Amino acid sequence: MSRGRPQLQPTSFFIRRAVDSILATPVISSVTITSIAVSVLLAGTVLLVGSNVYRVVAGAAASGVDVSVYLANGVSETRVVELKKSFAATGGVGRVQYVSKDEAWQFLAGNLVGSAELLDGLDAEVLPASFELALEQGISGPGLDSLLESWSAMPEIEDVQYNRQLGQRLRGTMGLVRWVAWALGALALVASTIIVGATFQLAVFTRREEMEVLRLVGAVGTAYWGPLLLAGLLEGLLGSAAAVAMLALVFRLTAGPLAAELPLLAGVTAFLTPLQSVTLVAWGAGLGVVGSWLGMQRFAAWSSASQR
Amino acid sequence: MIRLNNIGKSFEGRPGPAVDSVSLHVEPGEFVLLTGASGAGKTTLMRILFGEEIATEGTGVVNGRNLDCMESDALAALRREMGLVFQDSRLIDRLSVRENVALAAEVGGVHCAEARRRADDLLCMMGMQDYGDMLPLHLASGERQRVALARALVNDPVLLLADEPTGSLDPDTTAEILELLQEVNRRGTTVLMATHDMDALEQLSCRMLVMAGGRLVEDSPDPSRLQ
Repeated sequence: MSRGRPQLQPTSFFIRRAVDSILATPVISSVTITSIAVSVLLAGTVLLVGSNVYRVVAGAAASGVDVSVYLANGVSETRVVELKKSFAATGGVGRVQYVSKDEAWQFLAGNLVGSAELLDGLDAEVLPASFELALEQGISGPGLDSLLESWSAMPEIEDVQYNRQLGQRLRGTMGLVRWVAWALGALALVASTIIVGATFQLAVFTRREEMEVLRLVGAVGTAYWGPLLLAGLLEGLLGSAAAVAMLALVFRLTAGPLAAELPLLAGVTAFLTPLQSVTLVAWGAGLGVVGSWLGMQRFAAWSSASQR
Repeated sequence: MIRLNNIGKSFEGRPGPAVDSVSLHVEPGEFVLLTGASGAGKTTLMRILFGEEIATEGTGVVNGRNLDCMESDALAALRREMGLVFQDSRLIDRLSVRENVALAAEVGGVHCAEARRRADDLLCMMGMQDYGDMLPLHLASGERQRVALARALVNDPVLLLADEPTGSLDPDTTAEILELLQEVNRRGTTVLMATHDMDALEQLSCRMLVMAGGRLVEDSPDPSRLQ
């Protein structure tokens, strides 16, 4: 037998003790796992919505179309050719593309795959033909405004949409959304760390006699704290994995109907990438470890104070 | 095994020291009784010996380890070299009897299977071989104390410190526990037992230390010689 010779505990010791530690206080463990799950769910929702909004905005920005000029019905082909030449000759306009009613129809139908019934009873005539113009960098301010006004004043032109402005507004909104997301994330992080720390403190405190016994039989360092840290890690993994799974389920149930309602989202929305999902799970696991460490620190402080 | 030189311990707010200038030598293989009235300082002295209290005066060495400058690793190692038994058996009620005993070996790095084998051997020695799967909650006080003794022995300690191990037991059970302690001592473990249990004192013929007011007032090789 070993007379007090210090030895490293086998991995199975930590796993058994950690699982035992979770099962010893089932209610407190459930509260801890739920706290971590809610925190990760909140962060995951912010990340999921944010990344999809960003994808939509980025898609609009990447299309290279700054101005859409919609034509009135009945514009002759000759006049379309003249208008195209006129736009191309305008200073500041880089690229001009004509989109006929049929092409617009095909584009819309392509974006409504799975919801084709929305187009029942309609035909290509309901959509206007248009010119899509890409502006050169640097054109802005009063010059751009007068250009847009001159186009709007043409009798063949029904409407002019300036997408760059929309993009700029969306990007501005995105900046705000990003700050709000960071603030919410930080708030969730602080709140959940405090809650998880408190629940771990409670868990350790309810087992203080057991901790005392462990200390008296010579448990120190990893043998003493290791199982509790591992329990935090396991609870974090459980909570965050459950949160990501729940997020995936909700996304699966809502993304389809939402895209049908908002064609802008069709084919654009996507769930978190594997890296983002793994990061969320890792975050939850880290939260569990930090929470258990905080709980143990508080318990150790209480324990040494009570011994004095 | 134990060498204390003028060990003292004072607590804030308590008039006078709890332990006052105690010097003591215990040789390997001895069975020593430590007795005295309640408040005489027995438990404080025992707590100093297993590192739960730090002496405010004097020096002490237990199994070659200096008590007044011990890091947590060294303290834990010392506790694995000694076995501890208390009046309240301090078992973990949600673990089985076998798990309670084996846990003390596992924290020292012994593999689960080996720890359980040792636990079963010791439970057999304690006459508790059929109780391994039971929870301590379902045991009588004497049975709990036997399990506590098995746990104290699972790392084959060189020193067993027992603080009032028979304090809450009836005379018959006390006799059984004392017999087990003597058996442990015969197998080579040094035993220091603090008690004020007269039944225990009458049954044992061994060196006896008497404390009063924190001081060691008597050190007799045989209790029958005491007044």
